[in-house]
Amino acid sequence: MSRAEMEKFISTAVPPLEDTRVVDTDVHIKYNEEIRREVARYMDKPYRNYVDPDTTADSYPSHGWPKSLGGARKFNLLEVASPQELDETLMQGFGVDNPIINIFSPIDKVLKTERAVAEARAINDFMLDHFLDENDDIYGLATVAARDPEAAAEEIDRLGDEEQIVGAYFALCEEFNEPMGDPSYDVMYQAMEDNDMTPAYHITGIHRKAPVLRELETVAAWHNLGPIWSAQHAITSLVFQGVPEKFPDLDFVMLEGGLGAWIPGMMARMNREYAQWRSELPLLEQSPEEYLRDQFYFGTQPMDEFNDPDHMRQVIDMIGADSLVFATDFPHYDFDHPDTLSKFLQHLSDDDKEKVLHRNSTEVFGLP
Amino acid sequence: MSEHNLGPADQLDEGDHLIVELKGREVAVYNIGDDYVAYPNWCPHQGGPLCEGSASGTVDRCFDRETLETETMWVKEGEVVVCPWHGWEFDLRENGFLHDTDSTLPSYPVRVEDGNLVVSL
Repeated sequence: MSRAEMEKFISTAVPPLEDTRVVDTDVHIKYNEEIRREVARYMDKPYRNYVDPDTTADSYPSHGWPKSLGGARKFNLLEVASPQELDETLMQGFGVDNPIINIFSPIDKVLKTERAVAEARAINDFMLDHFLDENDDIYGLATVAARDPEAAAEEIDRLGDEEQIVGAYFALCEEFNEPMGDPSYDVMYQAMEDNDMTPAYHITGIHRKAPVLRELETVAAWHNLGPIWSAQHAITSLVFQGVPEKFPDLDFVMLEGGLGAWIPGMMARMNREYAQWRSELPLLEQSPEEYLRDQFYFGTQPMDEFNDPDHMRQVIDMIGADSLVFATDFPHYDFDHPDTLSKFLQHLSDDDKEKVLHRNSTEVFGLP
Repeated sequence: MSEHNLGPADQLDEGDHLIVELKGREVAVYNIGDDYVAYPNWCPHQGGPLCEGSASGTVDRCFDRETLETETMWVKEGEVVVCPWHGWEFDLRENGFLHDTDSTLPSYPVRVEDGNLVVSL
């Protein structure tokens, strides 16, 4: 990323949020060729050769998003690939004190499970060496290959003592993965609970598993439905399979499903389904709404935009400040600036504002 | 309080029930084996005829955190009635809906007197 690109991105009209600590739970590090080259060095052959851009002509399967956005805009507004770039943009420019980064890799889409397991491990070592070890303010989410839950559990155990790796990152509805509440994943959740690591679930476009989305005519229509479906898919699977009941010390963080009326809507809808079909869900000991309020946290980005801003304040009140964690999705094109969310929190007490901007996330992820 | 003689108690085998109209309301009386219970034939959800169905059992499941094994069991045989409208499960012995055990129904005392079922309203 050039300095000119960086300076162009940071708006002088919106000052960084400086009067309170800000923890950002959704920060993407671009898995570009430079990083792949570094990650490959942590790997053995043959899979090292699959990852190193200098030894393979293969590209990764597309993540399915319309990268070019019709040629008008970039999906990544910036390619943040180093802690220095993170510091000069998100941290200094936006006023984020503690980014929780994820390496935005496509390992869930590669064909070979062995390769995905090896690449995940290498990505984590890269993240530790290049981002976390020299930067106490930055935290990270582990990359794991959920399609091999035993291997994922081993990787979580391996990273358990790393204080700056505070959770594991799961891309939702990926081709080779099961629904997130599938009992085969219990071994991963057991490992996370044992190691005080928090699962964080990030939306995807789910076009591979929901081909009906391809029938929609526009990017806007697709993006309107795909991500939120993947978030709802995960929540439904996790709660109805009883994962919060099985692992009561775990919290579950939903990223990029958005801050909107769909969250209380899911609580109410799942309550009704549970009451109607309880015998199918015998592990549950309380209503879905109680699990969602007690053990789930929702990233604040992207914020839905009502014509009447008061409606967003009502939505925030319905969800409650106890259940929200601040997120930017930086540096993707649909990020939210902390200042924008802050304006929607003005009706809350100082205590509740701090919960959303940093206290919930420090508690959930165990940050100092 | 009024008392109502519903006839011989042995008309209800274990697991059976009858619905009678008493003082303008439908009341269901169940034989749950070692006891008789009576409730209104009314579901607090949307007012459906809760007791139209027979008493049956339901599914329970337990999970072992260490072995990660789950066991599915059939429990409460003859003690659970399912509302035919929306499927709410009612526990006849415990007086509570299984999805929300704090949600109860008014219950009516039932006794067997001289071989007859007597319900008090």
